[in-house]
Amino acid sequence: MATAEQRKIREAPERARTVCLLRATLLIATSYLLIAEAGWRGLGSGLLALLALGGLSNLAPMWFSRATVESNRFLALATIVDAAWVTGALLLTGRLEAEFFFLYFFVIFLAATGESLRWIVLGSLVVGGGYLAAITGVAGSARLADHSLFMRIPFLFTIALVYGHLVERIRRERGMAELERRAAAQSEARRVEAAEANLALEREVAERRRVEEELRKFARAVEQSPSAVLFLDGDGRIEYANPRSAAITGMSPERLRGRALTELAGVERGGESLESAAAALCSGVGWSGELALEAADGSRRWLALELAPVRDPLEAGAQFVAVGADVTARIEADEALRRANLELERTSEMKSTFVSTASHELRTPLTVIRGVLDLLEGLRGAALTEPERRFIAIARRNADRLTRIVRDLLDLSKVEAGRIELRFGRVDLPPLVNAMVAGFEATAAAAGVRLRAHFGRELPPVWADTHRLEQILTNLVGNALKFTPRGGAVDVRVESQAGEVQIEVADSGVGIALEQQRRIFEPFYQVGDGLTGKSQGAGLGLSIAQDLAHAHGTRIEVESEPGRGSRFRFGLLPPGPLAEEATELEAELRTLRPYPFSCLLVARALPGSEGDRDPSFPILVATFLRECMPRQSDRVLIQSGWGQVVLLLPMTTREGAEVLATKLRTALATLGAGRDERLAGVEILGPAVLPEDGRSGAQLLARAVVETRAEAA
Amino acid sequence: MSRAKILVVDDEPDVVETLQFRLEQEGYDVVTASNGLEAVGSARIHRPDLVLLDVMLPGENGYRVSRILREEEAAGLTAPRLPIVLVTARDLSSEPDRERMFLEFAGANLVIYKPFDLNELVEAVERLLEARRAA
Repeated sequence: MATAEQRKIREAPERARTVCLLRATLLIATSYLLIAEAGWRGLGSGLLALLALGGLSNLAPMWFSRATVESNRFLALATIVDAAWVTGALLLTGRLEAEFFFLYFFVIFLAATGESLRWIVLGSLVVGGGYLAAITGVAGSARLADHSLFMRIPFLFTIALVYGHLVERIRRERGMAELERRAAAQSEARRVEAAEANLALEREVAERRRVEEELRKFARAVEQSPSAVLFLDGDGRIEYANPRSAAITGMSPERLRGRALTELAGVERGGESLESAAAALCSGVGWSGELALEAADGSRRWLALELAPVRDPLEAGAQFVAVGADVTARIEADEALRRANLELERTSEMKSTFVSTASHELRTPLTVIRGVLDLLEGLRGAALTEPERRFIAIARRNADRLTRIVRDLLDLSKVEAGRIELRFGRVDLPPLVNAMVAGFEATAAAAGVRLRAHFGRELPPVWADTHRLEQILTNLVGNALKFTPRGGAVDVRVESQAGEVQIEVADSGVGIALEQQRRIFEPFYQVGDGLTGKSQGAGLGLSIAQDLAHAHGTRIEVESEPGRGSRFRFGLLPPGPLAEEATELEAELRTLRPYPFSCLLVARALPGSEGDRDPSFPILVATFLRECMPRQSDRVLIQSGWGQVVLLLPMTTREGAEVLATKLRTALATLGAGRDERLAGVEILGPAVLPEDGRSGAQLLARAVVETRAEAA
Repeated sequence: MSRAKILVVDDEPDVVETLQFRLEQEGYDVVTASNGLEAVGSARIHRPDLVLLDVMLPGENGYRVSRILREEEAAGLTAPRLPIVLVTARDLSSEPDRERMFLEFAGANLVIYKPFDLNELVEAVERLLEARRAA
């Protein structure tokens, strides 16, 4: 049994085609009958026109849409048109028998009802009967004998049956084919759909696997990271802690979880970074700094921490990721260094105070001793016996010596504390040296030593403090005389050399062994017992001379060999910007003592660049670098001069200086470039580690400058 | 001409005795004091012609005592144009700026550093008294 759906499929699309087919048949049949009836010649122009109209109306469905062609209205119209032309043709041929008319309606009926073969047969019988009745009624029984009429009846039935059958078959086949096609299409669609679904599923699984693998990779990286990695929630509580952070703090990840970062942090260095970190957590911004964490065993671990907010568009509130490195060792080393330096500073201060107080305290008794000796001598006058007079002289000489020692001690403590005022000016060396030599003539003559001064040609004046320079020379010459045997010579040479004035005091004395050369400038150091076998001073002369030389931004060098005499020499700069810079720098250095400068950085514009040609550029660089310096570094000395900027870092390890150098380079490249593009072209050289005594900063600087200049050239 | 009177102020009896002996040898009248308060009282009573003033005194230090003496002088309680010589073990000769600052603060005429030579001290005293007489 055909279902409703199948019937619908079978019926709907074929009606138009069937109608066309039948109408075409009608047209052919009509033409045939007319030609058979009237013959070719009998076809007048009127008949031909009617046949043409029928033909055209048969072609009409070609110009209309299928829906229109199948509509009842179109069918009715077609029926009327066909009725019109067929009727017209019948009228024109004068054959009023209704054969074509019935034939026509019979066929139309078949087509319009589209019903089964059963109905066609039934319809044919009914219409055929009616037809016979009509002919008989119209033309009388005589017409029945008409051969042609009888001939037509089977012909018409045959046509009707054949077409009816054809229509039925075509319909069925089409219907079935359509059904099959649809079913096939449906099953194909289902198959494709299933395949697609399968493929999508597979893809999804692969993607998930990939994501999982990626996640595992990330997790492994985080787990095995050499840095401490923490995930914090919006409140700064730890959601995740990797094993490294557990190792640093000595707490298991489980113990760390849920605790606030600020709760773990102990008292922080400088007192601010914990607060600023907490503030950053509250306001959801990034932060970096060093935090001290209280480890499980109560010890303090330092973490250099970078905090960065992680924003998730799906979740309100920021989360944080914190990456940190254990810098406890570095910070403890820094702390130790700082403490050691502080200790050094305190010791040095104590020593200074002690020396100062002690020497003051010594002065009053010395005054009394000398006064009393004077009085004794004055009272007894000529009545003194020779031994008495000699003893008084010995007592006075020793009191005088003690007085000198006390004075030297005080001088030293002042120089060390940076408390002597130097008054720099142009100094012509020849008169000064000659006067000094003249002052020593008596001593030299008594010691049997030849003392002479030699001057080179074209001596420029030097930039120095006359009084202090005299003191340096006096100490050097006095020292030389003391260690030169009778018949020896002490020569003072002054000559101009490489833009400097070199002053040398050479003796033909006992000389100084190499291992002693390093120590002779230390306070209280005595080289043997001198020539006389008697200690003649407190061993402060050279130390004071060296300190005063430092105050001039220079350094006394010694060259000696035991038995072959010694040469002490130092250089002074002629008046000019370089000399002023060096002495100013030295003065600044002295205010910072006893902080030893441990490292040095040099910032300078690339040679030949625009900044290099601008003499005021170093000032700009120095200003910028001062702004960039981290806090707690107020003791960094930043000095511009010699076309570059020098940074002296006190109490810094090489690593610390390198970190600072990197920071400054970054600052120059980013912030600096934004302010003045020439700043981006500034390079930071160093760090150079200074010798431990750190007392000759200016001299070292001068050397560093000369070296960098040579490199640049 | 009456003998000039000198006030010696020092908390060290040995220093006082030495100075007193030497100055008396030179023919001066010497009065002594061992602290600032005593010195100011003594300056009112004895009206000395010159004061040798130690700086490191118990109580008010020499600089302040010197200032007080200048105020006393302005009030007519001591001799006019009183020469004041500060004696101190704190040698500031290498720091001329500070030396000048202290002298100005104290309003003193001269500073002598310990240990001093008695003869030089006597010469300085004579010079100051001479200058005062000449004025």
